[in-house]
Parts: sequence; C-alpha cells; structure tokens
Amino acid sequence: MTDLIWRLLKADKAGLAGAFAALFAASALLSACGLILQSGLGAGVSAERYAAADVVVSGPDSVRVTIGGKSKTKPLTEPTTLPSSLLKRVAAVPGVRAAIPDRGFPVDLITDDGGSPAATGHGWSTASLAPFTLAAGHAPGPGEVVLDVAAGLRPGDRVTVVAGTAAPTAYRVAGIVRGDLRRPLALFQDAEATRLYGKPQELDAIGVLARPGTDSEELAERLKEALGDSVTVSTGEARSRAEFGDVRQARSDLQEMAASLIGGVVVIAGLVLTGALSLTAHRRRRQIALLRAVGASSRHITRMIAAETAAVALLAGLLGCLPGGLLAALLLNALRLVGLAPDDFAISVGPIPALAAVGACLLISQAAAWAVSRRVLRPLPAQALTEVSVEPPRLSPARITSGVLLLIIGIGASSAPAWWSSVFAVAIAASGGLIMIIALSVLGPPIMRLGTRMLAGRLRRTYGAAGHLATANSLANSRRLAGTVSPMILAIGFALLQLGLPATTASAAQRDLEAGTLATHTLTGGEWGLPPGVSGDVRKLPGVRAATPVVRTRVYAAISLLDSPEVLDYQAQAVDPAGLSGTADLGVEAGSLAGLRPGTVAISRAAAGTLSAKIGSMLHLYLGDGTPYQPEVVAIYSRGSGFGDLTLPRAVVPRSRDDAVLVRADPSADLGALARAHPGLVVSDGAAMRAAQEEGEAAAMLGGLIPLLLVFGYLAMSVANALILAVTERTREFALLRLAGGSRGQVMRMLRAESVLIVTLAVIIGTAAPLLPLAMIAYGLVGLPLPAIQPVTYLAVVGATSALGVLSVLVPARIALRTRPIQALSGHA
Amino acid sequence: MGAALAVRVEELHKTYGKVAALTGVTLEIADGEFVAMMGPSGSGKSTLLHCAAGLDTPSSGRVLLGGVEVTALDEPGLAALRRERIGFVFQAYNLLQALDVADNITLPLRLAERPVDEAKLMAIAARVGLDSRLGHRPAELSGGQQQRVALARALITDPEVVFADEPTGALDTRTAREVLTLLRELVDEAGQTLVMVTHDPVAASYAHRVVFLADGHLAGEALRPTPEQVAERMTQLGAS
Ligand SMILES: Nc1ncnc2c1ncn2[C@@H]1O[C@H](COP(=O)(O)OP(=O)(O)O)[C@@H](O)[C@H]1O
Ligand SMILES: [Mg+2]
Repeated sequence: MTDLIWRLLKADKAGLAGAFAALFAASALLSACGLILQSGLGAGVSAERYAAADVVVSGPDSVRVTIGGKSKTKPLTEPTTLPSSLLKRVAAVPGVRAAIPDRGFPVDLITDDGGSPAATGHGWSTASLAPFTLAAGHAPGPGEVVLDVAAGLRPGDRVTVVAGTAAPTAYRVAGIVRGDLRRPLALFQDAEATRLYGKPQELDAIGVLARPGTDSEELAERLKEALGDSVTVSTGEARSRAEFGDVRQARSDLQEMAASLIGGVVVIAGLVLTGALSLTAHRRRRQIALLRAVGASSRHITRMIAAETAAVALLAGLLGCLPGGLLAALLLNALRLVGLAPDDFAISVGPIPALAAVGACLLISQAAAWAVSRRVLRPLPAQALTEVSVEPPRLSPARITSGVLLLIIGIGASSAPAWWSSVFAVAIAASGGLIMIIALSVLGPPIMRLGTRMLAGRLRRTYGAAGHLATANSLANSRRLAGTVSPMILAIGFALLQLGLPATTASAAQRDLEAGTLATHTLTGGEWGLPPGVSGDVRKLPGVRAATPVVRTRVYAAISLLDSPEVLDYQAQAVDPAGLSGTADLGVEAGSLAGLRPGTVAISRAAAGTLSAKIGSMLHLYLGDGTPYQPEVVAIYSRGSGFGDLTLPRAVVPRSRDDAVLVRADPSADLGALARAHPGLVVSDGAAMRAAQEEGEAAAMLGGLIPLLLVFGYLAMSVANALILAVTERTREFALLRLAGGSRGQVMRMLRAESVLIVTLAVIIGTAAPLLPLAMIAYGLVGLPLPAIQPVTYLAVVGATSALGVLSVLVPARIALRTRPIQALSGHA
Repeated sequence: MGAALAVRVEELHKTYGKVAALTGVTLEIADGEFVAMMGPSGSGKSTLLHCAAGLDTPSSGRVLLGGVEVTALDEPGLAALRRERIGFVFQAYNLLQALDVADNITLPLRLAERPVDEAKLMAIAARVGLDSRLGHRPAELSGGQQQRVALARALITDPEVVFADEPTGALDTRTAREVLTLLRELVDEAGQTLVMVTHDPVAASYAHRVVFLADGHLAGEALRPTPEQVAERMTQLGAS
C-alpha cells in the first residue's frame, strides 16, 4: 500500500518540481548566508604586525551588560585601550619571554605632491612581533622614522609627518622594512612613539613572545586567568582582530547582516514552500481522494506527503549548497565592492553552513507538509472526488479568525511609530508590514473574489468572451488565484518595505540636516580626520563667528527591557558646545544645550522614547571604546535622524583628532589660508555635511540592498514557480476549451486577461500593505506621514514583478497549448 | 439513403509511433444519418472519430465534411470548424467546472463571439431536460445530467455533424436509455447527423446503421440491426 501511494504521488513530477525549486533555492540562500556568517565569525584577514606574537592581549572586544542575572553583549567596533600597568602583570606570567607594548596612532605622510597617505605609527620594538626585517637602512633614532616599501622612499630621504596631535614635523627616513602590508606603516623610536600616542597611562595591545617550548594556547589560558575578563586574549587567526579595526567592523557587520538575512529567508522560505506544496496538493486532490476511497488512511497520506517532502528537501537541500557557495562568494565580492568588507577579507569555508542549510530545509519542509496535509485531508474523499476541481467555497472559521487576528496585529504594529518614538517602534512597524502581508495571504481567497468582482466589468469589456471566462475562472478558483497572487504580494510588499525603510530614514536625515545646518563651511581631513590644530586655528581666523569641532562615534546604551538587559547602539556626535548654537540647530524641544559638559548628554526625541529618558534622567551608556559613561540628560532635540541620536561633549571622547569642524564665517574669512597651513585639510561649503550624509546613506543602502537582492531573487523564483504550477495544472481545461471550438489565440487571450487580473490585484495589495508602516515611520521621524521611496524604485519593483508574473503565465501556457487538445485530454501527451 | 453526404473519409491511415491505429479506412455518412461505430477495445474507433472531427490529424488520407476538406485546414481553421460545424460529446463529460450550466452550453457561441440567443438556449436546455438547472455548476449534477449538458453544448451551434465517443459509457442502464432516446429524437425530429462510438449492442440498435472496426480497418456493417445481431457480430470480431 505504502509503495503504491509512493509511486502515485511520484507521478506528479511537475508538482514535485515546484517544491524542489523552492527548497533548492532556499538551501542555496541559507547556505550562502551561513557561509557569510561563518566568515564573519572567522578571522577574515591574517595578522601582519602580530604574525609572530604567540599571544596578543588587547582591550575588551565587546560591551557586556548584566541585569538580574541575565547578560547581553554587543561587539565593539572602535579601538579599545588597556592600562599601561598591565604590562608588568603580563610579563610576570610564567612562560612569557617578552611582553611588548603596542601604541598605535594616526600618521599622515605629507608627500611633495600635496597628498597625505594615511599610515599607522608604532614603536620600533613592535617590529619584533611581525617580525619586520630591514630591507635597507637601520633602526630609527630620534627624529627618524622607518617606513615600508610602499612609501616609495629610501633611507636618508626626508619626509614631513603629521603624527598623533603633533604639528607637522620633518623626519629622516632611517630604514625600509620588507613585506607587502595591508596599510602603510611608520615606526618610530619607542620613546617618541609613546609621546606621539599621547596617553601615557594607556596602550593598545601587548604582544607576547613565549619562552621556547611553551604552548601558546596554554600560555593564553594562563594569561586569561591572570588578567581576568576585562581583556581579550587572542592566539592564531584571532590575532588579526586585535590588529585591524576595519576587520572588527566588517566582522560585526557581516554577522549582523547574515543573522538577519537568515531569519528573513527562513520565514519567507516557509511561506513560499507552503504555497508551493498546497498548489502541488491541489493538483492531486482527485488522486488523493481516490487513494482514500480505496482505503488509504489519513495517516497514510500525511506520512506519505511528509516522507515525499523530506526526500525532496534532502535532495534539493544538498544540491542547493553548491550554488550556495558561489552565491556567498558573489555576495562577499559585492560587499567588498561597496566597501562594507575589506578587500582582502577572506571567505571561511566549511561544512557547517551546508549542513545547517540542509537541516533547515528539512525542518521548513516538514512544517509546510504538515500544514498542507491538514488542508488536503479536510474534505471527505467522496466530496473531493465529485468536486473534481471545484474548491470548497468558504474558508474554515479557524483560518478566517487567524487571518483577521493577524491583520489586526499587523495594523496595530504598523501604527506603533505614531505613538511611540523609538527604534523599537520602527522595527515593530516593519514587522507589522510583513504580518499584514501574511494576513492578506491567509485571507487571500475572499479578497481575491472581491477584487475579481470589482475588476470583472472592465475585464469583460476589454477582453470579451475571454474576459468573461477569465473572471469565471478566477471567481470559481479563488484559492488557486490567491496561491498565485500571494507570492507576488509578498515580493512587492517585502521589496517596498525593505527599500522604503532606509529611503524614509535617509530622507528624514536629509530634512533634519537641511533645516538644522547653520554652518557656512565644513572642514574635513583624510582618513584619520582633521589635521591636529585646525580647530584652534580656525577660531582665531578673522571673520569666523563660530566653529564646532565634531567627532562622529558610536555609543551603546544599556536598558532593561522586560527584565532582561538590552544594548542598543546609536550613532552619536561629540561636539564642543561652545559655538554650537552658531553652527547647528538640533531642534531642541526641552532643556538646553548650553549645559552640555562632561557628565551630561543631549538626546534625540526618538532615543529618549526608546530609553524612556526625560530631562534630568541618568543614562547608562558606553562610549565607542567601551568606557562606561553615566550622564545626565540636559536636552532633548528633534533632529536626531540627521545629527545623531546622542550628542556628547567633545571632551569625553578620547579620540585625538576631530572628524570635522562646522564653521559659520563671514564671506571675508580666508579659509583658504587655513588649508594652506594644514596639509590635507579640505574646506567645503555648509552643505557638505548633507552630501557626506547622503553619500554614507547611499553606501549603506547599497550594502543593505546587495543581500536583499538574493531574497528578491528567491521571491521572484517563488512567483514564477506558483504561476507556472497553476497554469500547467490547467492543461485539461485548455483542451476542453479548444474542443469546444476555442482557438489557441482565444485561450491565450483568456490567460492574458487572467494575468492582468493577477498583476493588478498583486500590485494594489502589495503596495497598500507596506504603505501603512512606512507612512507611520515617516510620521514618527519627521511628523509627516509621507514615506519616501523614489518613483523609479517603485516602478522597478512593480514593473519587474508584473513582467515576471505575466511571463510566468503566458510562457508555460503557450507551451501547454502546443499539445493537441485531444491528446491533452486522453493523457497520451 | 440517397441524401447528400455529410462526411466522407478516404483511405485514412493513422500511426502513433509504431502503433498503427488506422490502416486504411474509407467511409461515407449521409446527411441525417445516425451511424453507430463498434469494435473491440483498441480497434481505432476513437482515433477514427477524432480524425473525422478534426480533433486529430491523420497520417495519410482525406476527410471531407460537407464538401470542406478537413485534412487541409490549419489550426485556426480547425478551431473554427469545431466551433461552427461540429459538435462533440465525450464519455467523460468534460465540462468546465468554473462555469455554470448555461455558460457551459453557450461556451462555443461565446468563443465564436456570437450573440447568445436566450430563446435558443432555453429550447435546447428544455430539449435535453435541463431547463431548471441552468444556474448550477457541473459538480452539482448527476452523471446523466452532465452528459445532457455536454450534448446541449454540442448542439448549440447547430452543427452539421455531432460526434459522440461512448456517450453512455459512464451512465447506468436507465440513464443511458434516456440519453439514447434523446439522441434518436434529435435525428428523427431535427434531422441531425450523428456518429456514435459505443460498446453496447443495445445502444448500437438505436442507430440507422452500425459499422464494425477491427485492428484499424472496417470489418463490415449492418443496417437497422437488432441488439442480438450486433452482439453476435461482436462476438465473432472478438474471437477472430
Ligand atoms: N495519442 C496516442 N498515442 C499513442 N497511441 C495511441 C494514441 N491514441 C490511440 N493510440 C493507440 O491506437 C490504438 C487505437 O486506439 P483507439 O482509437 O483509442 O481505440 P478504441 O477507441 O477503438 O478503443 C490503440 O492501440 C491505442 O493504444
Ligand atoms: Mg475509444
């Protein structure tokens, strides 16, 4: 019996192909995400300056918050430091031959042609951690520097160096080290390096050389024991994390991106697969009814659908891993291209992502199979047999109830930003949009009937008899119609939501900057920020009315959410409050920025909402390097999207150089003179901030879009899949029409009318669903319920989905119509 | 029957890959004639019917339908032929489930973009005994009723010939008799030309003439047969 059913179910190859395609693509996508996640967890880049260090001790790599016994950590992306006093304790650990302090600082090498390549400065003694050998020259003495080959200089040459916060100074090139390095290097005499580093009580990392015969892993264990939890002890591959800030950033970005992508793909794959399986089951209603009529029990059928789906999932899952590897490589390349991952960031290969993807496919497929069997088995066999392909007209009360409930939840969640101004509200609204889309697909059939009735007149007028047939089909098969329209709604809705969200926040930021920028000029520098001394000099310049040095940084806020700790990261600016009122208007709503000094903070309305902060509240913050900071809120402002959610006094951020200076100056002020005095200084107009912001947003959007493209591709496949399944199921119907005298052209005309109906319904519903959350988010951000999505983007999304939908109906139909009707009917195809 | 020819089939051959379904059939059917076609399963009855009706193309030979050479028509021509000059009834009723009875019956008219004559629809529906069922879906009807819908659909265009492939094969004896009586009435009262494939000697006895088919060629015929004669002939064919 089992064997027989098995063979019968297997006979529907087209149906299985649909499920196979959905699972294959899901597996490819999941294994690609898994590989990206694994790469993000891996080293990415090998250590260079620490290549010979057996162990590296560096500052904390994450913020850890514990509330009520539960902890939450968030990785830090900015460099952290250690107290110098740790050096002695490290040196005292048994097995340590040498403990070498590393203090890195920004160095601009001013070349003759006016360029200023950014290098990192370090002490000469750290060369033994690589180890670097001299290709020419000798170790640096006072007033001397050792560079790498890429600088293109020779021993004895003179070079102007802007190191740390010191003024430009001429150095003599003492020597050149061998090696092809990720970034330019400048090595100074140790005492000089410590002076240029500027923080006598701190250091960046300690490179440990072990005694001969000491195992580095064991040594690392001993060091961890001796130093406690507040430091990071790394060996092997992990050493590169202590060495390269950009790698740290990329790792955290990749982890976050992959994790969120995986979540999305699992949900979407579940929806798509359930859709594909129910279409497959729909094709086999009669067959399944027949089986039951001859004695197959419900359990037989359920088990068989489950077993069959599992077999398909296993095969599709395994095969899907192959393109998955390719996809991951493509994805990483694209991320490198937009600068979200360093060029030399390596993909980490291994079997775990593939295994996890196969496992996930199996789980998703079983959940979908269970849902589908329940649906298939609901009608009694006799009913299913006589119905032939006529479907039960009404949805079950359970389905209607859950659909309506989901719709209410979705609408409620989408409206969250209207009454709660917080990042949480934005996230809730975004998922509210998705919930509405799911609700609409649960309630699909009656909505489809309603929509068809509304469009029926127009279709009949345009398409005549074909239109009449198309509406009759759509009304009689509203479930099939819903099954084909739902993936399109999901595709359009999801794309609009994902593209509209960053566009809406970006446009809010633009509005803020437009309204809040009072500066006439913006001063910026190279990779390391402004040359030292600029902030002081610009204030002395005649005609300058106000100047505000700004550092952009990340700040972490700890809060307790439902009795568990949560760490949120914010884009923050650290400013010198002195001239702030002349250069920027943050839109203060409560309190005053005049009181912004160490121990205080100003906060945006949105952040205040999330952190439940009021004037006078104390916040629990961590600076970019993990230093705790517990300030009092002195002002709440509205323009957080443009200027950052938190505004700190410049003095509390231990960064040596400013990122920018906002300047309000009379036309008479000679800022050009300032630029001549400070090589590497760039003077641009007041709109530069906005342009930079726009550029940053564009890059972020592009970076966010690249992984989404994969999801769009998947959705596109599911759209095509659903439509093709639905069309090929109807070969018999087409044959009947033609035997009744319909020409091929008439059948195609009917299908054109149906595809117009499908596309129209999908576009209307797919546009409406994300509109509410986007409007509410826009309302929360700028007070106007106008979501910002470029018409081009909208048209591209809608156009591409529609074109795909129409093609997926018409192409398979044209193929199906090649078979002679009488053969299609007799099964002698 | 000295009347004009409705259908003429000349030297019809049809092979499916290696299977020779028809091996040279020549047959004439007069206007207003009711012909039953009989033969063992696989003898080529359906194939002959399909080729004669333009549903399938023969490998060689000609089919003439009221002077038109069916075998020379292209696909749009065949569609038009099916729509306007031929009615076809299958064993499986082959109704469109999405349409109600009235829409199923008038489907060929809609496809021909011809106006639907309500009076005619009512007349045909009444003729096949379905006038009270026009708003129902096929799934709500019995097998006999569904076959009547199929018959009504075949008749709505006033076709020159109605072809029926085992129209009573799926019906119980009583319902089958009713449908056969209806068919005979159509022939007698409206002069409808009718070609019907059947397995049932009793069904065949409703026809003016029975032609026998074996292994893809004609194996004789009988005029105004009784069920007993037909049954005996069939036994011989089956035994040979
Ligand atoms: N489309 C087809 N492809 C292949 N073989 C066919 C096809 N249609 C009919 N046949 C074969 O042709 C022969 C005659 O079939 P058919 O005309 O259906 O016989 P009947 O209707 O008398 O039972 C059979 O052997 C059948 O298997
Ligand atoms: Mg047959």
